[in-house]
Amino acid sequence: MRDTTAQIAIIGSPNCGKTTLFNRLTGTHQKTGNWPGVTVERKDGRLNLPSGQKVTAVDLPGVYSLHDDIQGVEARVAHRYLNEHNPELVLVVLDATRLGRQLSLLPDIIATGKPILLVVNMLDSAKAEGIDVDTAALAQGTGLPVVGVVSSTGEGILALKIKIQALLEAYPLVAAHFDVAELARRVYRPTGQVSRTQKIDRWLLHPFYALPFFLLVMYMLFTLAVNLGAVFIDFFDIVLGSIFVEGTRWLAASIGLPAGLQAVLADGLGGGIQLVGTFIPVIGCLYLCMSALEDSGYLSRAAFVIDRMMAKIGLPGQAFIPLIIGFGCNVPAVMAARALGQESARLTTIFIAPFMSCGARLSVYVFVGTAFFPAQAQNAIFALYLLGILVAIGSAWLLRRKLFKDMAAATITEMPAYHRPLLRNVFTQTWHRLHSFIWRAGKRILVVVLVLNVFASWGTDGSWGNQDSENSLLSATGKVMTPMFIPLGVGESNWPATVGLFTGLFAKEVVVGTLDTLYAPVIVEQATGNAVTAPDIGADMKAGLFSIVTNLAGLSGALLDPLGLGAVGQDSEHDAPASYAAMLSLFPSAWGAFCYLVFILLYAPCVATIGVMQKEAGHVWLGFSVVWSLLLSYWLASNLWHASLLLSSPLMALGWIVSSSAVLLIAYQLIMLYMQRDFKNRIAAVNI
Amino acid sequence: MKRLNELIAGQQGTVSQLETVNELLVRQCKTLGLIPGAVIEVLRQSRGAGPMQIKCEGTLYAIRSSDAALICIKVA
Repeated sequence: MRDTTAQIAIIGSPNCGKTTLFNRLTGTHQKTGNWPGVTVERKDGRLNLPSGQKVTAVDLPGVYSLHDDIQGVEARVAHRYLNEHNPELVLVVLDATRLGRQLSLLPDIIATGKPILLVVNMLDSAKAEGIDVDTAALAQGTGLPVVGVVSSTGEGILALKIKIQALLEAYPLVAAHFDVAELARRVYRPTGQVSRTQKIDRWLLHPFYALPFFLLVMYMLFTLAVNLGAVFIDFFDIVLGSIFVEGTRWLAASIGLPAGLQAVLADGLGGGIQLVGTFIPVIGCLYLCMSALEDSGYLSRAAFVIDRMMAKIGLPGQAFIPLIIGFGCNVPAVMAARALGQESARLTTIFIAPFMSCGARLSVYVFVGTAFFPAQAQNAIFALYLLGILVAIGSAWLLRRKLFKDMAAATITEMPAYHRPLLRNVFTQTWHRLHSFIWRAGKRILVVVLVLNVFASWGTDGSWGNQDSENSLLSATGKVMTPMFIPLGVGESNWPATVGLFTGLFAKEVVVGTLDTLYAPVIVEQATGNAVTAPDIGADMKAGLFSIVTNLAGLSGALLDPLGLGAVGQDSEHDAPASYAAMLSLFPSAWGAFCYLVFILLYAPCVATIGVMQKEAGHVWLGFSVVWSLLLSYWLASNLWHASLLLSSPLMALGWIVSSSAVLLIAYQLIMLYMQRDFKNRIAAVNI
Repeated sequence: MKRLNELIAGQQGTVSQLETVNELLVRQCKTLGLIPGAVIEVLRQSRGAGPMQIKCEGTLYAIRSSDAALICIKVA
């Protein structure tokens, strides 16, 4: 799309309606990517002019000025683009309701020497608030062409397109010299009247009503994003599994590929696609809600309401939403951290979001918990959630003290005016985010799933298709590694628990399946890969659609219990699975099982989370986070286990607690030293 | 001369000086136009260390009290 047509750039300060205008001009002809080397989103779109000419419009990041980069990379990106590329026209978007202030961006852009067209946006809001905007005086004062539009309704867009076309043909005007403050006084006459936004704020930021309203919005965000999204997970799981896993296996088998290649293609590649696909509904729903909240202007109010609490752990109020979402799923939580402007806050949030115990982990707690402490399951699970929160708070505190202490932060942020969210904006934004998740994070997830699945399928005897059996390479590795986990209270011959840790990397709920199969007495005879039949995609599609109906019926329960904690204790009424007996005998005690759950909570995020963490924060930060949580979880779980041994073998237990704590302390010092060294340069190198 | 965080809701004042303790804040204030001479109105004051809401040239901002304490204001 680039280089073949003329390029025009769209620039403006944050919240001036720039993106709405961009969406209005280009419609669905958009392409997103990242600016080279940074995580700032780049949007290109095709704009059809009335004459039939096609030009490429580039949506530059929102900036207050071009020369000072308080917002970090955004100003740099915009500045570099204007200097290095040669946009034939720069549209400077100005918010009419705040025109006076907005003009201060103009001198910077005029200094680049590019042809400029001023677009005064939100003229309707200005009128509604009684603000008098003189566009003719603006044109005269600056010597630049001016067009007034209302991009939310489309008013003036055609005139704008005609103007763009005329200016591309010939740009005759030269900018006049002017004084910003003096010009602002001439073109912008605000009335003293209280704006609509201030009137709404009286209620939504009211000393008493603000918090209940905030909680209501958060509750709705969580239910819609996580619970409504979850309704469609099974559909994607069944249908994509049918097409990509079973379909690929059948296809590979029917053209006579060797079993190894079949496993790589079907379980590895197909399984990876299936896994990425199951995240689509939750991430889609989350972004629908987030974009609507952002577009409406409430997001910054929510941050305002919760700011005081978040300040205590050294984060801005905006970090609250990613963390809350983390209780549903860590993947969108890490992605939602993008809304944080400050880099140190964004990195911290990405770092601690995986400690929020997600819905998938709950299923493991329920499975293990109901086997070992059926009467105490609720309390144990509550303790695990609390532990996750405490670890998150502790980590945030440490990061701020050790790593970000030199990074000054300013807490001043703009609170945009309220607007009715535009469907077009909300859907475009959601689509861009989904697209970016599927293609960019998805790639990374796929690779890990491929490797893990090959290990799970490949048998020690060289055969394939050994998933969830004792013969797979993964199980063999699990057996070898089990002694490492004895200090956690896992038990000497409890290798299925170790294998569960590996399969738990796919997705935490997979631990349940692994434990259930591996503990269950093996009755099923092995029939590896002999009878591969074509998947009945029609029937699976039906089953998928049916799952949506069933899940929707269950949604009403989720409204009262968004975390799904009601599932706790229900299972004990059913017949205990056959695997329970083996599991009960292999773990040394119920406390050992609890320590195992502590380890499951913290040891490492699942591959999908790892994928988005790598994409959002780079591999250095991802590695830091994984090493940190591995060490911490091992220390925590093993010390909890040894604390229970204090009475029976005090010397050994005490020795372990002291020495492991010493090792942890030294390791953390080393890690911190490593991270601190040249920290800023390194962070810059990992896309921040 | 008062600090911005000492103003009560509804009060207006003119920025007279920005303390240079937090360089980032100074730069950010400059880009946002909260410079000496700018008129600031306090819309919402919070108890304790919470954020306050202010208005300057038609735009609303949230700022924590600790940072507001670095902005000197001449009350009209």
